[in-house]
Amino acid sequence: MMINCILIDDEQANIENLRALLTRHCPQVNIMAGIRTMEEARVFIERNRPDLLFLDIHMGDRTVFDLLKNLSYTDFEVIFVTAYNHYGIQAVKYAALDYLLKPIDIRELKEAVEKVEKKIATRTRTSQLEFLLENNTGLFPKKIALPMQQEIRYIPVRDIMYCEADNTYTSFYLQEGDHLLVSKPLKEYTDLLKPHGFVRTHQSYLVNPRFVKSWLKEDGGVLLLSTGKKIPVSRPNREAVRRELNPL
Amino acid sequence: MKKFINFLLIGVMAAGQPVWGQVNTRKIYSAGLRTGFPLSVGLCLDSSARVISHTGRFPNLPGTHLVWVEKGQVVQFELISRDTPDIRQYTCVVKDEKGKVLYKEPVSKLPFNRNRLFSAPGFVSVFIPDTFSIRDTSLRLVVYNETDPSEQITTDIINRPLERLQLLYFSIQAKNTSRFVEGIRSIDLYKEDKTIGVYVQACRFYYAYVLTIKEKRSGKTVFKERSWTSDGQTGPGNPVHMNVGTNHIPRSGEYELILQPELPGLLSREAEKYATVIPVKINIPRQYSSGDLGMWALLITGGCSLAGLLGFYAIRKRNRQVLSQRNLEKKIAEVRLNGMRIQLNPHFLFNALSTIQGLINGDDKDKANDYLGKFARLTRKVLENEVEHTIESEVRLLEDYLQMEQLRFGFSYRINVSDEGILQKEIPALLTQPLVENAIKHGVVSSGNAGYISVDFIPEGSDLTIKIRDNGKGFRIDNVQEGMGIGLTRERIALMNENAGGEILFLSFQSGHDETITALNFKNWL
Repeated sequence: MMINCILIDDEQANIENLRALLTRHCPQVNIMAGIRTMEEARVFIERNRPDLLFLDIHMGDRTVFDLLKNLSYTDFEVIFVTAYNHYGIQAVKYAALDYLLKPIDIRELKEAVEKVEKKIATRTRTSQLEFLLENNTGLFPKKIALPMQQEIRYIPVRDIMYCEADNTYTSFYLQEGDHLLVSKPLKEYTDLLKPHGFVRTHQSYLVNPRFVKSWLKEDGGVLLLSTGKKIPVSRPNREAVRRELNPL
Repeated sequence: MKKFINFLLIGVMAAGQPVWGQVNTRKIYSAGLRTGFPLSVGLCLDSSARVISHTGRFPNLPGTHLVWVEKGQVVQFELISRDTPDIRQYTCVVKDEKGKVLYKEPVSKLPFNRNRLFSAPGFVSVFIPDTFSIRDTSLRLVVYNETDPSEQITTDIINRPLERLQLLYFSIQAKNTSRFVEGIRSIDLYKEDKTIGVYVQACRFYYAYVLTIKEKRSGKTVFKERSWTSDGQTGPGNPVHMNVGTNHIPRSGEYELILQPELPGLLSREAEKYATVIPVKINIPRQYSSGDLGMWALLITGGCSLAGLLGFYAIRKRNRQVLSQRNLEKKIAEVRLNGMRIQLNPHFLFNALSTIQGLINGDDKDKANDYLGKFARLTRKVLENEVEHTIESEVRLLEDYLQMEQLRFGFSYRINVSDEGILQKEIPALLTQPLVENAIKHGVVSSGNAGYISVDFIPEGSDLTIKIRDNGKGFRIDNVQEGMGIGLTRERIALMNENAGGEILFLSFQSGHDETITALNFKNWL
């Protein structure tokens, strides 16, 4: 199976670089075109219907999200590429979509392409792209995409009670009592959820202050959640947690 | 004129049988007037349209009128004027949501007639002949004076849901300095801070939105305004801002910033649908003020001799604290100056690495080596962390930097030192780099090979001027990312002036149609 893809970047040198890397390391990919403007990209995509898009997030003054929003055809996979883009990449992470950082690491590139290959082969297209476009407009998206074994769940951030580290996995405990196991480390979600006010109380715990009922003095510090669940607060985190919970 | 408009409103009347999808010209809404402006605007809608709100009261935008409708199909505009007006210089334009001109005509070419609806003496009117579709979109009508385009009235008609405004960043203004706040979740305020600039991504109708600040603990509204200002062009994508005086923020704590449209006829429940709520933590560190000292003095003079004696010691102690506080502040300023000396934009850093990767994969070994060499020199310079270095070093470094960016964007450049005698004089290290970066990014990136940048080092007596010139489209200081680079440079300059105890360094911008000049002036430097 050949994956038909196009490369979208406003710098020709970057297109050539990615083309060289893909030719050498990802033989299953057929590069249909390298395109430097969003308008040309839109026309090309709608006419040629590629399977995969490599998208540079920054296109001059705009972001490539503007292109995606204006497409009538979206039945493709995407891999975002960026040098360094705090806001853009944040939106992509919330949607749990794949991205590569420049300069491109060959192993990461291969893995991302293999993932796309698998998705196309098993026809498990997900709605993450639509989710990104609906969700990305603000700096603090209201929902977050959690990739699980079989499916992707889109969870309102405010419904997350706490997260618990489980080796390289993270357990999400939700308001309704649901429990989701996600195959990414807690650190990743700490970075994403801290701007929403979540507090890292412990190496293994990230807590939504909305559900914190009180601070118990036992064992040097434990947070009691409204459900009765107790969350440990480790010594090095104690001051920071206190500050976060009592801002005055 | 006002009286007349009231008359018009009362005159909203239904007669005849309106046809669906056709403009009902018997029902006219007042939609634009301005004191001293010879023309006013009315508009007619089709019968399926329902007006949610229409208003012309926006403090910073006299002459702007907004009509928000739902289920509308078409609109027709009417211009109304006094009988014998001087309207030769006026032009009227209708634009669509993307700014495309749908209609443009000098007003004097329109066949004004005695007003048909009522025989208001002294007034004539005319319908703009075209009707315009407003299905799920918005339109803007502008009538302006050609000799002075700022003399204008604007009518916006919207027939779609509004957007949410997006908060971009905060910029804090003190007396001589301004600084950007990292992130939008918390703000540290100091005694000398005057205003908090709240920057939002402007949507087309940003002026209909109100900024409200609530203190969470008390639930009290401490600030509510709609006086937005724009630094340059407004329009989708460009920020507008509002300055909030720090006197509105009584104390540290949790606050909520709410951006929400407020229009007559719009229910607050409805308005909340378009609201953006941002929780922000504001910290105001405790500081000693001269007021504190005054209080002490008052207490002492009023007290008995014992209290006086005690007070004397108290004052002495407090004075010492104030003094050491000042020393501390100065120290902190120095440390901050050292810490923020050089910031290589991470964007530049990783793009440079990416370019090197591209050269390797394109088998262009010579270029790759050359580029890598420059990159290493630049990085080393940044890591060396010198406070000052010679103009010669600065020039060499700018050469490296410009050549690296030249490879990516293909502009041409020139660096000129008009008097070689100053090459060994020292200046703050890498102070010019963010300014040159800015000139590249917003001046010449989009012009390709036609782009041009020059950097001139010009001694004038004991003063030194560094001029950075680009031939780009002119620059927008309000852009977030560039704002940060320039913001940090400004902060660095302010700190240097503070440490020198006077104004020794100035930064200024001058932007024209085809050229932007950034100038750094060093007073008594050479």
